[in-house]
Amino acid sequence: MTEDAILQGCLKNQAAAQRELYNRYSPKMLAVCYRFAHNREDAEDMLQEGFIKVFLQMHTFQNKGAFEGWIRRIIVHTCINHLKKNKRFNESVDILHANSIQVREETVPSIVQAKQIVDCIRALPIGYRTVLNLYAIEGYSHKEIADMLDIEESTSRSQYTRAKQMLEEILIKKNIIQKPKEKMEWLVALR
Amino acid sequence: MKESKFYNDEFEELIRQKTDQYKMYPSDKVWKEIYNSLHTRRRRFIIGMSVLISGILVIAGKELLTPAKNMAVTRKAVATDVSKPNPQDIAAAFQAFKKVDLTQAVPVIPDKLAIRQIIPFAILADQGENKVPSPSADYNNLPVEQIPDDIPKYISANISIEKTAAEVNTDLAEPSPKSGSDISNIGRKDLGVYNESDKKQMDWLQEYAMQHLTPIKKNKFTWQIYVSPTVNYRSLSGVDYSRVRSTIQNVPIALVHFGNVNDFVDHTPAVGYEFGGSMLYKLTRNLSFKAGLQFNYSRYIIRAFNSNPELATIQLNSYYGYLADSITGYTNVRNFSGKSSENLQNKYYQLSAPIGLEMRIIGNGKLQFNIAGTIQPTYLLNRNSYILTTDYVNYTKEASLFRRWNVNGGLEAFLSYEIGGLRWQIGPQFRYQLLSTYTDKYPIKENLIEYGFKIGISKIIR
Repeated sequence: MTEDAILQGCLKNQAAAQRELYNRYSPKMLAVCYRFAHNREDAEDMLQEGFIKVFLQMHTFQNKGAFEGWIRRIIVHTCINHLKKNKRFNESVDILHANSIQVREETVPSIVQAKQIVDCIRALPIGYRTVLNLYAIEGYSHKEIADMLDIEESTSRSQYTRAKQMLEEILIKKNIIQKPKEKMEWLVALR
Repeated sequence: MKESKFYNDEFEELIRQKTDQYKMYPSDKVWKEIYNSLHTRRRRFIIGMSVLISGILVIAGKELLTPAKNMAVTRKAVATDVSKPNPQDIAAAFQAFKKVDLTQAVPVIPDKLAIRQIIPFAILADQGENKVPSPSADYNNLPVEQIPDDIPKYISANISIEKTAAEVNTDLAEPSPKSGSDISNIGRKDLGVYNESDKKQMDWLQEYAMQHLTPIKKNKFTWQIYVSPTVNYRSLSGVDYSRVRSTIQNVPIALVHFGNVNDFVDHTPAVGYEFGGSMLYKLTRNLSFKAGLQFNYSRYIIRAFNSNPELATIQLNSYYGYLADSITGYTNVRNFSGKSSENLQNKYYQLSAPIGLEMRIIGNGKLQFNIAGTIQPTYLLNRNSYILTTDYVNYTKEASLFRRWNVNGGLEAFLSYEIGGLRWQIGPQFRYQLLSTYTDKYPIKENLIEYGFKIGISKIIR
């Protein structure tokens, strides 16, 4: 089924088209949710909520950009809203506490693959993780992140700096990447 | 959105690349929840249908389990209210009235005690003033104070105590009784005189009272439940590409076998079943309107072959004659030859609402011969059946090409026989799917056919 046919079908509330769209994008979107969520169950809740929004707001898609990007934005916003309902998240995202965080080695897997990077990101504290996800992976600016999370732009920047630093440490600890002086060589080798 | 520095940071780029590659597969529960949220109307429809089916089954079950009790109650009620009153009861009532010593002046209120017995009958005579309560009104148990004062004149408080019993009887027999008559001679009259009058009175009451009874309504509704083993098959049709492929623009481009599709498939009938319930409303003596709910399980068998996974292409019809679309997937089922032979079963689960007419052709009372015809709006519950690729080479599954809503036509003839208040019916039936199983995009048309033998029971709702 072509993407256009899927869109038309979804606009007519046809279950087959909706299923096709879901099958096509849900694996990628669940991975997005998983990076934000506490566990898989939460991630599936986010995915469910996000896809319902996608189908209900299908008529607002104006064919100006990539369809996947449009879905992804809805999913990310759903994840953030989901997290904001949690009081602990609101506290953690607004406090700088990078120095007090100790990453336990056993939480990080040893297989060097995409899943490994994702699991390393998930090992970060929730506040760091969220900012890192939004900035480095989803491509939002610090101003947008600040608006989304109801924090200062400077807070977003500092959270990100520390998150990135911590992630690098984890990756180095796990021999996923080399130390900074050797990093460039490793990156070349990895590609 | 993106800051320019973002792409320059190789570390960030690496993270982004790797995370984008990562995929996870959600559990089935997620889609079910999404589907339920989006299609509440469909869910309500299914719930509504379930409630209706349950309702019919409950009514039917209740009627089946307790028919004798209901009938006994009904008959008793009819005997009490509708049949002629027992002459002995009427005589006893009048006897009580006559025993009052009419030679003495007696208070009016105590008279009510005496006349209480005859009120149920006497009041029936007062039709002229529309003050007639139900004949079944139980005045026997009323306290004296509660006997209404507006009961018919001749037994009300205005009745003259000096009236003769004969005159009273005559008054009772006439809607407009004479008032103030002289009954001073009553004590001297022989009781035998009254016996004749009593008889006359009783005859009149029996005859007259009957005219005021409400006739029993004939119940026009009947419930029916049925089950039917069926033999299912299909008819395939479509464009014969061997003749038209040079002119038709939407001919499947992957077509390699030209000709009638029936020449290229090997399919055989299989057994299914049908069950349902309906309500019938009697329009005339011989004609009834029927509507109900029905479930059909249909299937047929296709002979196919296992193969290695290969591309399966279905070319779709285009409404405009150009830009033909296609669906391509992988399948390991071939139509003609492969590693090993395999019998595929195409199963269809359908929910339908038959609406139609039933007509009695011959018979009366116990044994009847009837015919019936229905149109059945149908909802297909599953869409996971095998579908032939348009090059006739493979079988694959493509849910989007199945039509959810369809229409079936049903015809049946049956013999029915009434036993113990239930009417049993048996007879052949034929069901044909009027629209293709597939949507208009799919070039091949499939119409399902069912031959069945229906067994049912029905009962008039009382």
